[in-house]
Amino acid sequence: MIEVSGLSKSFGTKAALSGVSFKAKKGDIVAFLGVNGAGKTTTMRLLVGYLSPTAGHILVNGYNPAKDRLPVARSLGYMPENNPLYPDMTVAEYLGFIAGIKKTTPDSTLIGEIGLDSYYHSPISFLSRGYRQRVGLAAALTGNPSLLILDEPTTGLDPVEQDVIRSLIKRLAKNKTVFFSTHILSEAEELATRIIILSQGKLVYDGPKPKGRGSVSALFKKSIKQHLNP
Amino acid sequence: MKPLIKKELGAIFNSPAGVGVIVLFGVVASFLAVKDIFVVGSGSLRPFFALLPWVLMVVVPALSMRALSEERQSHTLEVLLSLPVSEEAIVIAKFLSLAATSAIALVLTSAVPVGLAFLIKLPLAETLLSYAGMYLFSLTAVSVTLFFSACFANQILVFLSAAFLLFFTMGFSLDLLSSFLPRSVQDILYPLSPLAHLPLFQKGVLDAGDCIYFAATIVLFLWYAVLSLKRRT
Repeated sequence: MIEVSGLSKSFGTKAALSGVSFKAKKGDIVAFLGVNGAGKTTTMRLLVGYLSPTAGHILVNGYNPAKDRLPVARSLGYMPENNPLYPDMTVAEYLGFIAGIKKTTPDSTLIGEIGLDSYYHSPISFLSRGYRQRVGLAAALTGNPSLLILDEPTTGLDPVEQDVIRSLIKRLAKNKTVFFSTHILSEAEELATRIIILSQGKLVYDGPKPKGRGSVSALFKKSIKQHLNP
Repeated sequence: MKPLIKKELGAIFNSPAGVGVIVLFGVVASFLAVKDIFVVGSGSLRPFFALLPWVLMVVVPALSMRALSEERQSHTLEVLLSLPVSEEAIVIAKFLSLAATSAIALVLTSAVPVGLAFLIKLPLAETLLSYAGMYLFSLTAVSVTLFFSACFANQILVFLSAAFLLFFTMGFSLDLLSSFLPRSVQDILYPLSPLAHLPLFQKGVLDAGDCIYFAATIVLFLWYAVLSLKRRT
């Protein structure tokens, strides 16, 4: 479903990613881990076709997002970092807009499951951060995409809302390939089936999630340490 | 494209600033027309149509500056470009909604010619074609502003760049230029000015060359806007 090989991206002289390769198949829930500036957001932007790679190849459902962005966009749902929305729109207008572009209609079942029905006609600017996050998630899931890319979906939320968003992802992302980035290692432990760790733009771990409580945290610390002090 | 146009029109007409600019334009432009009629004592709309491009040069960039720059600044462009919609469709949708807004703004000034028509015999073809010329000028200003809006996230920078480029090119057709530019340079620059393509409209003559000039300028800047949007990396 996703094949990434030798992926590099530079901004001017600064290399954000160098030679990253990985694969993901249907049903994988992949946690993207790394410290700030490791290249997680850049990788996600490359996967959706927002950025073009400096070198390397990406295939999403057989299409190269840098060249064939539209067929890729038809099969994915994306929630960028900080979840940008149109604050002047109501939830209904925003989800209607997203559904209109995806040539579908807003899914009332999904809206109910996400818990947005009582805020459906409220302006987005009136919503709390947690509910805005739900709107972003609903928008990403509109049209039932087979691939979900979520850039730090729980950042900035209180622990209760973090739990809500996590359980929504777990429940609604069934039978989908999910890529999500996070700084909360327990979140990766709870949601992921696979872990990818990036450090300074390089892939330092790609494999199944280790078993056991605290194992992701230990793996993360070990991988980063090994990369920085070989 | 329909959801994009609906969103754009909603963004303009739900915003106090957008509505304020349109209404203010209607009031100022109507005042300018009335001033010529009652203060100067001329029953012609020619002075009004001669002045209108200078007002539109400021109003249209003010209305259009946020179109793409706001999407860039608030990072909603990233959401938009992850959806199955092409860069061409985004630019055309923005253009069409601003074209509709410009038409509404120009219609707001029509009270003056309609009122005048009750008092004197107003040349219909001249008046309608003058409005057509003003509309083409407005669409040109929209496309120029959209291009800068695709380039910069800062709306003030977009407004200043668009207004300056329009002012600069409009200056090519002013007599002021002939005092310090060689004739050969003037001959090259004059046809590039949008003002050089309005007089025939104001005389009630529809000239294919003038229409081609406006159409080509609009398409050129819209194409540059698309290219700028595609070169986001």
